[in-house]
Amino acid sequence: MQYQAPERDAQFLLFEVFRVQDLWPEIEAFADLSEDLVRAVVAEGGRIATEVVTPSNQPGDEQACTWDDGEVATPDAYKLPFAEITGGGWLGLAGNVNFGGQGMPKMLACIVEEMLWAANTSLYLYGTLTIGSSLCIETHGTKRQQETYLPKMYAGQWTGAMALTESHAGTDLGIMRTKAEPQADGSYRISGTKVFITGGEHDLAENIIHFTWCWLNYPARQVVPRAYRCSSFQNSYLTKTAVWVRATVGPAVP
Amino acid sequence: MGIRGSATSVINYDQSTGFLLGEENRGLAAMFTMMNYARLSVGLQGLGSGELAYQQAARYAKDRLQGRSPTGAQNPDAAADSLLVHPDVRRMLLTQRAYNEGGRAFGLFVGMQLDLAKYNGDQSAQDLAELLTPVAKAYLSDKGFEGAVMAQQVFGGHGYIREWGIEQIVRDTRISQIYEGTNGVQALDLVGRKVLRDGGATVRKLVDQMAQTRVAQVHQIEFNEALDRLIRVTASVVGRAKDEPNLPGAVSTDYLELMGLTLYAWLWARMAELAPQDEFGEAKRTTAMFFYQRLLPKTHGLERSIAASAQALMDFPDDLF
Repeated sequence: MQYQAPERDAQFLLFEVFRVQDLWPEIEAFADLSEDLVRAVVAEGGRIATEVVTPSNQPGDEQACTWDDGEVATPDAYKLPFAEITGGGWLGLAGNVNFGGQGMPKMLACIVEEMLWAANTSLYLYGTLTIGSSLCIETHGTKRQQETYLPKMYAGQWTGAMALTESHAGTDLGIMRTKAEPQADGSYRISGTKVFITGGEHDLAENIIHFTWCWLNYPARQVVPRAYRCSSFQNSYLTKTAVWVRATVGPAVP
Repeated sequence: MGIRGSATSVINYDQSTGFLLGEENRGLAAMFTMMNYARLSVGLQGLGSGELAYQQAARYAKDRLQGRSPTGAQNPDAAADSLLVHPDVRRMLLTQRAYNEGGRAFGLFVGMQLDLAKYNGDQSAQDLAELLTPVAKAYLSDKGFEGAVMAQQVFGGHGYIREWGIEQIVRDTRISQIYEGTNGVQALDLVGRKVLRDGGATVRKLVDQMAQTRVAQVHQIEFNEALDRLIRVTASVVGRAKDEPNLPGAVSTDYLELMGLTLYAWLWARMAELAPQDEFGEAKRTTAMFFYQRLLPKTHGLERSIAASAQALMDFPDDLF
């Protein structure tokens, strides 16, 4: 399958339709962005998408992910393009500059994202979940959490996974069962089972951060009145070597 | 079905250690930070698939010789004319193009609101981003999937087998309509939460913003009509929802499509106005014309179906399903 990145259209939209050359100087964080740099980012994003990522699309579909006694392997063809995407700093394109991100506009990131999705949807899912969860830490995390997680996530050394859905509940958060119990050291003990977790386990990164929707003070009754609903959004820190986390991972859903 | 290279997992926590992110009992706010980002991104997934599929179909349609033009042979020395002589094939290719390029412009418009909200603390941009996030997720992914299926149709039987890669695009993009909140949930979020909560005020602001921009003269009248229609339908839904609890859910998917088409009408008329005088610009102007003549008229039907009460859905006896 061939893919040509829609560079011309992107340049038209940025500079002729939305006139970012007038808009961005009004936003302090983007005041120094030169037109040449923006054009270069679009061109390089297009090059990575077409030349590096696209060739992994069909082979990845054919080989698919495999599960072998708890070890999840992504397709062989994914290793190189994922390393190029992460090594090139593409996951931190719109990330916070104080933690290793590049601080580029979301508008520009939208263009690159479309290209990477087109080039290989399955592969880019590992990226987009990492970007989304980085934003969550950037917005809601403590300074220590930001320092711990963001540089590694922008660099794709660690990836993110978003764990909400349980087998009996997807849309209805109120009937979720996974719970978090506070521990004396300030951490929480998590119990429960989540399903359909994209990128929940894989071999592309050294660590996976699971953003997990849990109940704090799990209600005695499954369905409780709204006033008693207590929910908390946790990230459980899973490493493959540490013994204090036990997470078992099922085979990929076909 | 698809995204076979993406590891979709079951996670058993088994007393694993977690750390709190944000504040206790404020998990929803933290989750929505991520969710709103992810929703726009999943819309872009649909767009990316739609573009990839279009490119394959356009290339195939040019190369594939099949049948003759209704106006007489265009390529008399060959065994047949290319697929491009057939109006219905062109309908499919132009529909994909119109939704892809309109969708790209729409995605950037939403991205622009996110930038203005995040870096300039612009409240009206924040309101617009919240209003448009479910539209971006659902409309871009719906059109991406439709485009992938249309591309498959252009390929005929070759679109059904693996070698050409089209069936993979169909399988891979289908999930974008399902995860990150199904598109039905997005539509309900749009109508039930975003439109009704302020009585349609943000929609009216959006319409004002669109109306103030200069658009191609040739589309001005129909563009104005489309804006009026969105205002009229919004007021009708807001008014009727008070007495009819099932109404938002009953009309939400149609309303989301109406809003998507109206936004694309704006963006296409803008693009037609600003397109340069070259081949790229010519493609823009002719696609804009196609959008206005062949796709935007769907809004007439949507207005009619949204005018119906929820009765037709709710009257059917549960036991007979």
